[in-house]
Amino acid sequence: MVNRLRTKLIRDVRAGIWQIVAISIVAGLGVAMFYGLLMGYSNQKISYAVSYQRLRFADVTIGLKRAPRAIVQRISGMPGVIHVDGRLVVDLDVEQSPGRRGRVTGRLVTLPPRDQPAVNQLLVLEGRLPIGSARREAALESSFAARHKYRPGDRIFPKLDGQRVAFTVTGIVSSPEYIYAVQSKQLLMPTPETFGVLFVRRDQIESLLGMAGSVNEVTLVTEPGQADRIGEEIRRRYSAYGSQDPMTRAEQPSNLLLQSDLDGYAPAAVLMPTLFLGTAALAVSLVLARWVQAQRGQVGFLRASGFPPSAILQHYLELGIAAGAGGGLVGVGLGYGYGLLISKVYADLLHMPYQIVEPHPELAVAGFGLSLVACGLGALGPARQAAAMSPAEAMRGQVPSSPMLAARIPLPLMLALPLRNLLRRPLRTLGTAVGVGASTILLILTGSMLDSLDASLRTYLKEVQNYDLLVGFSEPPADGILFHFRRWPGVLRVEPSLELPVRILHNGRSEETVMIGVLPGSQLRRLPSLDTGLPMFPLPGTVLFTDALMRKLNLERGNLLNIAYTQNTREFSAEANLRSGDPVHQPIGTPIYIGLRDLQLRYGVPLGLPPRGITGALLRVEPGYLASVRARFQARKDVALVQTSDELAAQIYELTAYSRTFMGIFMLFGAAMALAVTYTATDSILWERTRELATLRTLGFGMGRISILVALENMMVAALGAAIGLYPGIRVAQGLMDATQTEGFAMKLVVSQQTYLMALAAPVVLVFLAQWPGLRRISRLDLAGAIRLRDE
Amino acid sequence: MDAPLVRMRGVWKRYRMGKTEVPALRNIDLEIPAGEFVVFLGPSGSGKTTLLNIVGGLDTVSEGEVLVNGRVLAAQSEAALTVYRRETIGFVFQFFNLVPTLTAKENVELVAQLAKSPRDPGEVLRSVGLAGREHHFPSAMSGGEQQRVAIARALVKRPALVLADEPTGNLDIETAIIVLRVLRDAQRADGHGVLLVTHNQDIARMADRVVRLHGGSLAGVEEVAHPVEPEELQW
Ligand SMILES: Nc1ncnc2c1ncn2[C@@H]1O[C@H](COP(=O)(O)OP(=O)(O)O)[C@@H](O)[C@H]1O
Ligand SMILES: [Mg+2]
Repeated sequence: MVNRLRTKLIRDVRAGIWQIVAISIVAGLGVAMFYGLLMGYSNQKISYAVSYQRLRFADVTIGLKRAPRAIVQRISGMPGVIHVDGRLVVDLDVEQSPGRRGRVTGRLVTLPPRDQPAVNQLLVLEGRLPIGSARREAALESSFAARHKYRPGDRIFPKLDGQRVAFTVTGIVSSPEYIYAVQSKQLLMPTPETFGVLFVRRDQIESLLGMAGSVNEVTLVTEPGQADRIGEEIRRRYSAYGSQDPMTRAEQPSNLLLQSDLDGYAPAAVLMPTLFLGTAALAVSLVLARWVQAQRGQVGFLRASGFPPSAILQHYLELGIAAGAGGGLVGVGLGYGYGLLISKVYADLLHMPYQIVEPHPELAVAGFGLSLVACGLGALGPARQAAAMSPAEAMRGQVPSSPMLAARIPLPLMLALPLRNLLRRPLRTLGTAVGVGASTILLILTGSMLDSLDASLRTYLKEVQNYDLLVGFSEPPADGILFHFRRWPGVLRVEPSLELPVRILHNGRSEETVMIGVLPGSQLRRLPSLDTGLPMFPLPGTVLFTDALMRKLNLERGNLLNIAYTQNTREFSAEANLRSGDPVHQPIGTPIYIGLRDLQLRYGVPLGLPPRGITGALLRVEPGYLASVRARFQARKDVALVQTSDELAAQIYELTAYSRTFMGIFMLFGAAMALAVTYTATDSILWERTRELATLRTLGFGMGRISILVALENMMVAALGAAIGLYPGIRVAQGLMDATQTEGFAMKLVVSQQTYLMALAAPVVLVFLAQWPGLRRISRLDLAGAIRLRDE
Repeated sequence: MDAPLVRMRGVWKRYRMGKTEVPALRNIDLEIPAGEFVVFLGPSGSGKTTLLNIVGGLDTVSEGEVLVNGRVLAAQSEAALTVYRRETIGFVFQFFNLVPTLTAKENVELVAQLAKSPRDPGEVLRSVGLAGREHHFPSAMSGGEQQRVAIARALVKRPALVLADEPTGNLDIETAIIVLRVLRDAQRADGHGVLLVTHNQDIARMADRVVRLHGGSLAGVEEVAHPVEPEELQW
């Protein structure tokens, strides 16, 4: 015989379908987050692994001053070495054809004459590799090529030994070393506008570089776990050739950024599903508690007829499971789309050689299971309550209600009625409010993340980097050159800049970064204090760190550190022991700051620079003159880099577009959850009140007045919920921010007034939307029938 | 004479109300033979429902002994009571307690699925005069019809005892008579016992036996020599 308890279940689900759907949506959003984020994460991880493996990404890279190519042969015989390549890597000025940005920094990387290199192979996206032809040819790394719109057949002009040499572009490639095309570890961000990688045949340029038969870098693929040992050994063995510290994958800039992308997933992939599924569980529990309450008589009858408590428990658990299954279905579908979207946004952002997109059904199953578990757990409380009901009690009807506090407060009826209703069931009211609060948390969270991102960019672009134009020299400029620039039309202010790459040693940890000399009273580069926001200046013998770097190195103010120039040689070397000062609030990048004089005297002079040596200049330019000043700099031979602050801003915005998309989606999900939760709450209140409200109608209350009564009650709950969610929202935002902090991008939490307003107002506004279907039902109610109904 | 269907000895039931204990039943001794139509009569609050619930295994005694069909109820665990209710008792309540999302027939089937050898739900519904209404939902039925569905639900599992607590309390007289007629006919046809609780003196006239309660005590048990038919009742 058909199980009629199952029939009842199905009919109950059908009768309360919109509530179930609303809960399913909340749970489904949680599952979607879980599935989508983990799918994105897994696909990314696999994409890295596959790209690295297929293209033989180097396990370790060792720079050399100059070594005969024969060492490649010798290294290949070392135990643990699988593949080895020797090559030339040089950074130099590159001129571009008219119509493109005049001059950029190019990194020439040599390829063997006839074949792919043994390590760090290239994936040809368009055209072909520059091998097997007598002409001077180059392949371009794809992000640079895309930014400057290169196609095969175009020409590009590196300056080799001061000579502009034409190369024909044969193809666009992606390289495992430049998935993020980062110039150096000091500047941990891709700068395709000003930096590009050119792959060229070594036999066509080694003599032009005066390096015939030589290499200045070896790259290796090693047996697993051998990279450190082999790298160290090569450094030792070839120190006569000027071998530098080996760089393993863990330090490789592109890989470093990719890994931090991966790390960025985990907090969201845990937090978001937890928040949504927790809310779904709460919603199940609230809705089901009302159902059980409304079905007391039925439960009593079932128990009296001989249904055991376990049957009742199972029956109500199944209702929760039904919502959970709905959530699982919604979530798996939505999550799949979300996962695809993540992969696509990511693929658009980067040029992953092999972008793998797999559905990962095991994650879908796990997500589905989570939804069942969450909703099942939510149902457990009411289900157990139902199962534990004594049948005699259950059929006695009325539930005892606690005495009303509000009854004694003199209030106008329109306020007193809703308030009393809320106070009559304080726990339930609180539960509903907590559900609304969860959406508030999400709105505050996403809103403040976007606020913080904006504020960080503002801080960085308007306070830290306060210049209009940044100029970098390719060779030490003549003394007094800045006075010369100052007289150019439109130039309002010129400040000197000296930047040197350094390695910091502290407590056995080492970190490479760039040390920037700061002009006292500088107006174009400011160092806001993390604590006060006021501009600071490093005292002599002191270095200022960003708070992110201080945390990473476990530094406190006043620590003594050894800071050495990274390219120290026997002839020229510079290092000093310096003290750390107060942290600087700088959201982007992790340079360290020292007084300009200090840097010039302690480092510049020992390295052979003049006493007032500089590497660049910062300029304030009248807006109308920016283009012409920029062009003038670009035409100079001694200038390697010209960048306006707008160009910098554009670069950073491009870099953060991914995070914005993420947050935007989270916010959308948050709003959907707020709507769903308020709907379940308001609608089940309306079901419960059907008789009461119908009675009010028979007494002559119009629908308008009833709507106000209901809305007031719901708005009070919503407002309470918003208030409850506010503080946890800020804490969760702080937590997520701390967890997703990377060294290159360290934000300070900012919550704007708009965000507060949105988080507080949204639930209240949503209440009006949410209660609309219920009110419509009541306005169409057959009054006589409604009053006659006893059960339900 | 056979062993009585129900036997009570020195039964006390006390309810805790905060710190005080309220006795709802005081020292009840009672025997009810099988197959009779018995009315428990008494004013509101006299302990009728309490007594019925104890016989039905919905409630337990504070003191004393209850045997139904030879089974000692006091010694039973909740699980055993559930089985007892399932196998022995059919309940009918004042407020019908139908499952509103199930049709009349489905409501009956719901209970039938519990029984080892249930009667055919459609046939039981016909026997209570609801032929043709099998597929109606409770909301589309009158109170009397709903109560007859409830009775069919109690009868379908062939109980030894039907317990009906104020089954006509919510019905007008004509409807009440129909319901009482259904209960009486079923009792005669199947030979099960019926314990019917009411505060309505008049209904007692159709009983085989009347048990009077007052303030939780037994105020008298009388056998009715010539029970009237339900149609002769009036109030
Ligand atoms: N669960 C309970 N808790 C406390 N008192 C109860 C409970 N059930 C019944 N009573 C009390 O026991 C007495 C008998 O109740 P009941 O058996 O329902 O009477 P009747 O059915 O004759 O109207 C009443 O005084 C009632 O208030
Ligand atoms: Mg009673």
